[in-house]
Amino acid sequence: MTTPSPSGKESPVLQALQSLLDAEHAAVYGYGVVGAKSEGAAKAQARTAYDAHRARRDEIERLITGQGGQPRAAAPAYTLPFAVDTAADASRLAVYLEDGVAAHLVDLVAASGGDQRISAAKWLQQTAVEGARWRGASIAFPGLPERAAPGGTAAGPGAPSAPPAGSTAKSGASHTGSGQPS
Amino acid sequence: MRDAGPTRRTVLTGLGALVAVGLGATACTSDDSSGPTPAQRKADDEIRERAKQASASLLDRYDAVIAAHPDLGGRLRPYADEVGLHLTAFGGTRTPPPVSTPPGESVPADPKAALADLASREQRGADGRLVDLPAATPELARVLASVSACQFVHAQNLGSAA
Repeated sequence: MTTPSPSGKESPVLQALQSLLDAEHAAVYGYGVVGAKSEGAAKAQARTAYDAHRARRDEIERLITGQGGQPRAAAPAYTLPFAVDTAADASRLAVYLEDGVAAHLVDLVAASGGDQRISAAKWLQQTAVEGARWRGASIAFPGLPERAAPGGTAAGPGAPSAPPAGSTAKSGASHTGSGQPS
Repeated sequence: MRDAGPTRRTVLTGLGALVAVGLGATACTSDDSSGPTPAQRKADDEIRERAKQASASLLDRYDAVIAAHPDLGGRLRPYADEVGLHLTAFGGTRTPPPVSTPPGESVPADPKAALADLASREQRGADGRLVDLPAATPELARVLASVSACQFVHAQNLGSAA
């Protein structure tokens, strides 16, 4: 009745939801760090984002359960992609988290259809707003790292010139990609 | 602090999910696709054409506003450039700014009103791409959703500045 597929393999939509859930788990953890290292308005912003990602995590868990899947749990521990010592590091981590979630949302858009696709696209809008807030600039293609301009297209005057966190990890991480057992 | 072996594995199972999938975003979507049917391809072409027209006319609008309000140029040019990238992504080419504003499309004299007008056009663009989303093939849907999100950001930022 609730078996996702005869082979036991999850459907593409369910796989995309599970991957998004992994990213949201990581984002919830990551925003705890962002909040701890931020000050003033940024701290409040981190708190709001933390709550938003928790709420979305819960909603995705409900969606997975509703489709007969078993929501994957958060990892017992996470290692940050770079050292987060200062408020600037914390902002950079927030950008990293939003960019990562955005890419998963685009995957969900591709894998799903109808209303679920629209919902994913609307989440992407919210994620892009949050990412732009932390980045201090908008980007042309949120969630599409393959179209990311090196250095960005619309960096504000006050934006740091460092490349987005995702791009530095690109060459290494693409070879460790998940889901390709040999 | 340098990560030892076990810690590195934690990266791959934890935040590594962000790293790996965030960068290999197309990995899990093209498994069993046997390619779009002619009907789907035709639908995609129509959707792409609509998006192209919308981006082109929005870009013209940016050019007109910047021409009328040079002081806003520094602020608006990055957004216009991003809309130009959207236009290219949908198969269009960017043409030089028109010398004069088309009739019936006059730019508000008040800068705040001009920004508000651009904000609502960006919002209409963001909504328009969502409308076409369900009928698009997965690859085009990715771009539509991304462009919609970018335009949504533009609309929010311009709206709060207006």
